[in-house]
Amino acid sequence: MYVYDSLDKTLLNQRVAEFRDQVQRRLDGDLTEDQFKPLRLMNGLYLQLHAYMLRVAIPYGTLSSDQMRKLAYVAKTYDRGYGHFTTRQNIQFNWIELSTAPDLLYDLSEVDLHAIQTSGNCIRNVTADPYAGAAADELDDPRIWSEVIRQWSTLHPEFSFLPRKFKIAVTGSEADRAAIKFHDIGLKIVRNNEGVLGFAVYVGGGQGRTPIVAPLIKAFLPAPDLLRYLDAVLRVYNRHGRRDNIYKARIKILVDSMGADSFAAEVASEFNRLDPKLLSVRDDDVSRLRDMFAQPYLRPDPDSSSSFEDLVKKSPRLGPWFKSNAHPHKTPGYSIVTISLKPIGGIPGDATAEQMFGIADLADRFSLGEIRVTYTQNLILPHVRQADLFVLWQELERLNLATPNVGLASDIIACPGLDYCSLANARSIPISQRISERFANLNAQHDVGPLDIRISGCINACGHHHAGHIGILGVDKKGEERYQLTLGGQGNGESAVGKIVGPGFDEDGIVDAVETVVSTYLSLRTEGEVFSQTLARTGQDPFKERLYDNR
Amino acid sequence: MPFILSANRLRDGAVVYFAQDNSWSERIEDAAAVPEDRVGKLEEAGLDAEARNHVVGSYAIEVAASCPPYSTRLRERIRSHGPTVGDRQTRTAVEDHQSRPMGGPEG
Repeated sequence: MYVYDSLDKTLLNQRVAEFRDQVQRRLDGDLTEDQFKPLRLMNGLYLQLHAYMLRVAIPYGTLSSDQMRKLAYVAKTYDRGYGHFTTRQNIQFNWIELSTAPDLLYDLSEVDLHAIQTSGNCIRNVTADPYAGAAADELDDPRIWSEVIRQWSTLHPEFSFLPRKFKIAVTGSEADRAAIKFHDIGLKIVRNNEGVLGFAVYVGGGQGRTPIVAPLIKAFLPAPDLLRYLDAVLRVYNRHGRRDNIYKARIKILVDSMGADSFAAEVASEFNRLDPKLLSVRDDDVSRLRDMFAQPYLRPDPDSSSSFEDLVKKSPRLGPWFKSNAHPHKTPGYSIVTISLKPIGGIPGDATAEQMFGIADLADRFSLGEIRVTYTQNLILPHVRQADLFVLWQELERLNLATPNVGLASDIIACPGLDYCSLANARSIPISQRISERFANLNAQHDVGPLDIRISGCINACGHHHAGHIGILGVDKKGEERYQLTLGGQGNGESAVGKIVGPGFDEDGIVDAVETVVSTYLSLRTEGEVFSQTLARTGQDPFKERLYDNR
Repeated sequence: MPFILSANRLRDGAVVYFAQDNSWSERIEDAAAVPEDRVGKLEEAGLDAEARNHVVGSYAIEVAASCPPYSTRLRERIRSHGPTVGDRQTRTAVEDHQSRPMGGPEG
């Protein structure tokens, strides 16, 4: 993993001291709320419905066990004993006091964690494939390039006051597990015909009130030119982005209005003006980062997998968990294990301090001390020997973390919604809980197959509802919560925006509607077809008929 | 319908209500309810408390004439009673939703 150097540590220490002074001046009345609000937001501290909320950056979703222990300590010491992992691969604490926030940030800085650039119109925390360094289909480790971007973008003076927030995602695999085309910039590591490493660059994707799948702006960008090209994209955006209208300020609106080709041409022109000597990514820097992210040698252990498969046959409950929660590792005999934070009827993404302490210990025992956070609000142990899977599963069961539902109907993405968020119009979490309970039968979920249900409590779409096979958007209609249903979104692998099916539903109706959609699919599917394939084949009409004909 | 005044406390962000005795209380039961023609005065009290750095973001809420005051807006009921999904420590708005119809106050 990346280890902070003295420069990083000095920056963090100075930032904590600066914020401590700012908080004290606010409490003493030397700063007004208008003066203080942008300062606290620059440190990830929001004021939500019930309290201050702190959003902690987890760079490219990678955590060490010691960092996870510190997050558990924060949950226990400064919050109410739990934290909420988000669709930005971050963690949020919901019950923070302003007066103790500087102490909290000091504690986080001891393990190189912070909340810088988790808010505001700047380049936000970079996200990446959570299987980084472990996936068999990986061309290169996206963490290396994410860290290059982190260092370039941290406190970047030119890009600290952009027209709107700016999100970058990186994947090193063909299978997109970072939803890169729903980001302001999505980077996919590729090799050209000569075998040279570089990036396919997608610009102008996003969700919110104008969901757009990012177009390809450059098919091959040589890796050393990465920062120069990103700089050019940001400069064009900074110059032309709409600052007069918050709803039209994201880069997706600019790219859409200019057209992808015109935008790409202007970026190319800006790129040529920038001095390559200043912005080229140097080989020695990349080599240093490559060494930091190189995992210790894992001895291939093919016998381990066959003996484990025998065990699966003997234990009926282990089989479904292995099938949905374990993924092949690049090293024979190892697995990438997803820890579901979606217990049936639970709050998606929530983990208690005890669970976080437990996961940290399991990471040390079974996964080289490494943990990943997924944008689907689960956690990952990336390097688990298959011979250890049975014991790991038992330990996860003890922590109530062994739900075998990854990628299935109850693995629901949900934003905090109106229960916590001051922007929300409707609740998300209770809807997700009720749907999860409706599909509580795990055998039936496995029979239904891959199904991606996503819920947002407002049009800002933090719950990624546009990209769900089944998407739910909560709205306020004359003081009542209503829920719009969309079908056909894609966020894992493929990228597509779902389409609204018809009139919305009330709280009870939306849960029934989801069940109707699933039962319709089951009646329509052909042998081996998954939900998204059936929907693509039949279109929405048979689903609409079942949903609305009897209303 | 009467109005009450709410805000978040500066120090910890807690939801508070302007009370009869000019203090700020975490209990909606303590909120001073005033008729519509006195909302301006109520809002002035909020701005004064903001200027003295006690609270932030004060605003008036229309409530039903009941005891305790009852907002027809779910957002305000969640603010006063906590998340409907429980936050593991405080009493939650679930009880409130179960005991009262969503559309309005009882009696």
